[in-house]
Amino acid sequence: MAIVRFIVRRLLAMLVLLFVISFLVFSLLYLAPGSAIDVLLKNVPRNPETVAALTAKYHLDEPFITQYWIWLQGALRLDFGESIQTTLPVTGEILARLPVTVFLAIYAFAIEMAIGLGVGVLAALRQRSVADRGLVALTVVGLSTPAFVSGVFLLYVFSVALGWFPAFGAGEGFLDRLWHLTLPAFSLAIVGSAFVVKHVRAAVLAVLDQDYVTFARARGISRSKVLFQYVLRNAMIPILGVSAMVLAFLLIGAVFIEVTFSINGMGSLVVKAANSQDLPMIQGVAIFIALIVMGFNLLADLAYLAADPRVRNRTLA
Amino acid sequence: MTGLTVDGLRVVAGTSGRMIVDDVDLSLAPGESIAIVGESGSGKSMTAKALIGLLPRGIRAEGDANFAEVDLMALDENAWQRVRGSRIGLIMQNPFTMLNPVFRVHRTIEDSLRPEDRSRMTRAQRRQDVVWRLAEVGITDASVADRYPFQLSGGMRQRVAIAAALAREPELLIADEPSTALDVTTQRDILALIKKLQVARGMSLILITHDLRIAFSMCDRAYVMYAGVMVETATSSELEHEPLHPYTQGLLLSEPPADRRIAELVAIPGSVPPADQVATACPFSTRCAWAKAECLVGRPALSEVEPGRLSRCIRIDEIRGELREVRSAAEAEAVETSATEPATALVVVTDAHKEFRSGQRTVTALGSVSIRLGEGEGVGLVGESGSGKTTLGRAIAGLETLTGGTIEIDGIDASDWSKLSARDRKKLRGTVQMIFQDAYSSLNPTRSIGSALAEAISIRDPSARNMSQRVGELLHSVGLEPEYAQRKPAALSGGQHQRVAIARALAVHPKLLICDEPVAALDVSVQAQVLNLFSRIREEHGIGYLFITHDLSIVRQVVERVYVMHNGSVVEAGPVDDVLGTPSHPYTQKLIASVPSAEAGWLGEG
Repeated sequence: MAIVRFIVRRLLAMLVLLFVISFLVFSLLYLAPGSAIDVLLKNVPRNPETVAALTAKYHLDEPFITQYWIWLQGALRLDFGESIQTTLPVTGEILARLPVTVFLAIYAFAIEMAIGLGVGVLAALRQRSVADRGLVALTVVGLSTPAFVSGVFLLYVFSVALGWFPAFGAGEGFLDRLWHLTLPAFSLAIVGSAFVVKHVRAAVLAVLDQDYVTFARARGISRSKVLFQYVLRNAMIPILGVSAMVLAFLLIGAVFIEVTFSINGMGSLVVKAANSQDLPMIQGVAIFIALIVMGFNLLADLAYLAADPRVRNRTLA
Repeated sequence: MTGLTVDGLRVVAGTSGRMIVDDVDLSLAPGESIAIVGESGSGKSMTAKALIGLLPRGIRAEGDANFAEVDLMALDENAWQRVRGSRIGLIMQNPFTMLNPVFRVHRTIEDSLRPEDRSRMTRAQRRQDVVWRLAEVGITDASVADRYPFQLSGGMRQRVAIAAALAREPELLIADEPSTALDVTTQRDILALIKKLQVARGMSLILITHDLRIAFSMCDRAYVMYAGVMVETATSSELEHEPLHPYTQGLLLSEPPADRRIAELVAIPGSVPPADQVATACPFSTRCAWAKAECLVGRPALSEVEPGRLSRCIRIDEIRGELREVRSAAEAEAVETSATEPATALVVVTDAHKEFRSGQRTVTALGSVSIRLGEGEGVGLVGESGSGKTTLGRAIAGLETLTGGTIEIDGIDASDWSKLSARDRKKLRGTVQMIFQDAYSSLNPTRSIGSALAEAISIRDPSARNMSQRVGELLHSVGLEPEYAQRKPAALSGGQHQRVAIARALAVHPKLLICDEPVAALDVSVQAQVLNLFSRIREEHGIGYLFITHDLSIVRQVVERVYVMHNGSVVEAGPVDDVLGTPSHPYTQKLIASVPSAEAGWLGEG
C-alpha cells in the first residue's frame, strides 16, 4: 500500500529529525553558562560528595558522545531523568500537565479556524466591500494585541465584571474544562486569527476566479452547493497546509497564556524550569513539544493527501 | 416569441461606466446556429457571459435580451439558477480548468443533473445515466467515470464538460472558444461533436470564436464583432463569398492558407483598440485603409446593404469594388518554393534522444531524431503537444541537455553546452537565438525596451557607441518607432512584445533563430504582421529559421522544408510543398485534415 509506505517514510524522516533535535537539546547542558556541575547543582550544597554523586549520576566523567548516548537511551524510553527542582521524574511531571495544554491548544485552534474561516470566507465573498475592509481591519487589531493583553481584557470583562467564566484553573471533566478554558482559548486564538483570515480570504478569492466555479454556476448548480463543494472544498487545500503551523504556534502560545489565567499546564512548568535552569525538565519539555508538533504535521500532511487527488497521485505514485 | 432576441445590449464596467460592449443586436431561432466572431478585445466573450448572467463582478449588462419569453436582463441570481444549465448551457475555452479538480467525472456529471431527476434515481440508475451521457459525447470507456480530471487528456476533459453542460438538456448552448486550447487534431473532433449534438438535440448554438473558418463550417450565420460592437452580419456562405466590411475582409485575408504559399499576407496594421477609445467613430477607422473624415464623425449604424446583410461601414457601397480587387489579388497569389537540402549544414542533429524523469516514471520526449538545417534555410518543426518539437528546439538552443545523440552547430559539438569552453559557448549564443511563444514573459518587466536591447547589443559589441542610435535602428528593423525604447514591456501590445523579442535576438547577429510557436498567442490580424516581419527579416539578414509550430498554415508561409514530429519521432520530412501537398504518412494526413476549413465537409468524415 502506497499510503503505508508514505507514512513509514515520513516516520523515518521524523526519527532523523528527532535525533538531530535531541542532540541539540542535550548540548544545552554544555551551552548553559558555568560548568555542567554548576548547572546541575542548583539546590544542593556544593561539596565533594554531591559533586561526585552528580558526576556519577550524569556520567560527567565520560566523553560527551558517551554521555549523549546514555541520555539518548533513556530518552528513547521517555526517561529524561529527574527534575532538579522537585526531584520527581520529568516525564511524570510533563504527562501530568500535557493534557491541559494540548486541550487548550486544540480548543484555541478550533476557535481560531472558526473565526478564520468565517471571517475569511465572508470577506472574500464581499471582496472590497465595507464588510470586507471592516472585518480585515478588525483582525489586524487582534493581531497587534498580544495574547496576555487580550487575556487580561477578557478576564476583566467576562470573569470579573460579568462573572460568566471562571478566572483561573483548568477544571475537571470535559465540560468543566471547556468552561474553564474558554477565555484563555479565545485570547490565544484572537492573535493568530488575522493570519488565518488572510490565508482563507486569499485562498477563497483564488478559487472564486477559477473556471470550474463559473462553469458550475453555468450549469445551474445551487449557490450553497457551489460555495461548499466547489469553492470551499478547493480553498481548504492550501488552508490545510498552514493549519499544522497554526497549531504549533498555539501550542507555544499556550505557554504564555497559562500564566495569565493561572492554569497549571506545561506553561507554568516551562516558566518554572527556565527560571531555575532545571535542565532535565527543559530537555524533556523540548522533546515532547517537538514530538507533538511533528505529529500534527504528519496529520496535516495526511489531511492534505485526503483532500487533493492530484497531490495524492504525485506523492503516492 | 421563441428563440433568442437581443436588442441594444450594452456591457459596462460598474464604477467607471467604461464601455466594453455596445449596441449588440442578435436573433437566434430555435435549432439555429450563429457564430460571434472577433479577436481579443472584441467583446465577444462578454456578450456571451451577459447572455448567461455570468459577467465578472463589477461588470453589468443593459439593454433587452429575451429568451423564449424570459427577460434575461430582469433575472436575479435565484431566477438565473433556473435558467442556467436548464435553458441556456455554456461550455468554456479551457478544459484544463473547467472541471472541479477534486471530483471524479461521475460526480461532476451527477451534480449537473436537475436536482429532482437526481434524487429520483437510485445509485445504480445514476451510474447508468452517467455512462450513457459519457457515451453520448464519444467516451465509451465507462471507467472514465471514476477518474479525476487530471487523469484525462484535454480532449477527454472537454467531452466530459460538454456532457455536464448538457445534463439538464438546455435549449441553447453557448460555446465560448470550445476548441482553442486543444491540439489541432482534437480540435476538429470536439467541434464535430458539438455540431452533431446540436443537430441531434435540436438545440440552438452560439459559437464564440476568433476563427472565421470555424464559424463558417459550424454555423448558419455569423456576427463579426470588433472593439465592442458588431461590424457585420450575414449568413456564413454570403460572408465567406464576399465580406462587406473592411475588417471582416482583413480578418479573412490575415488567415494564412494551408494549401498554398502567398508572397505576403494581407495584414491589418496596428492592433485592436480598447472599445471605449473608439466609441465615437467607426471603431475600425484607426486601422482601415479606406477610412475618411466622414468615418470619424460618430459611430456608424449597422445598416442593411443587401437583404439580410448588415454592415457598419458607411462607405461600403463606394469601396465594394476595391475590396473585391484586393481579395482576388490576395487569393490569386501563390508562389513556388524550391527546397533542396543544402550542401553546407549549419546544424546537424544526429539520433537525439531525451528522457525526462517525473517521480518514478520516465517520459521519452525524443526517441531518436536526426535533422539538418542549412545556413539561411527556413525549416519547420511541426507537431502537436507532446511530439517533442519544443524539446528538440530547446536542445539546439542549449536550454536542454540530450540524454543521447549529438548536436553539431557551425562545426562545434554542442551536444552538451555545459561542457563547452567559454569561448565556444559565447560563439554559439551569438549563432543561435531563441524566440518564445510568450514574448512578454521573456522580457524583464522592470527594464525599458531600450535598456533590454542595449544589453543585447553590448553582449556582441562591449565597446558599442551611439547606443541610442543603434537601439533605434534595431527597433526600426522590426517595424517599431524609436520612441518605444523609453517604454516598459507592460505598455506594449502582444504583437509589439514579439517584435521587441525579435529585435533583441537580432542584436547579436545570429545565424539561426529558433522560434517556438512565436505567433500562437497573437490575434490573427497581428499574427499576419509578425509572419510578414519574419519573412522580411529573413530576406534582409539571411538568417535561418527553425520554426516550431502546430499550425500547418503558418509553416506553409514561412519555411522551405518541414519535419513532421509525432510522439518523439520524425514521421515525415521534405520540402514543404511536397509534405503538405502530397502527405504520405497517415499522421501528416490527419494533421492536414485538421486545419480548419470553411468548407461544409470539414467537420464530416475524414
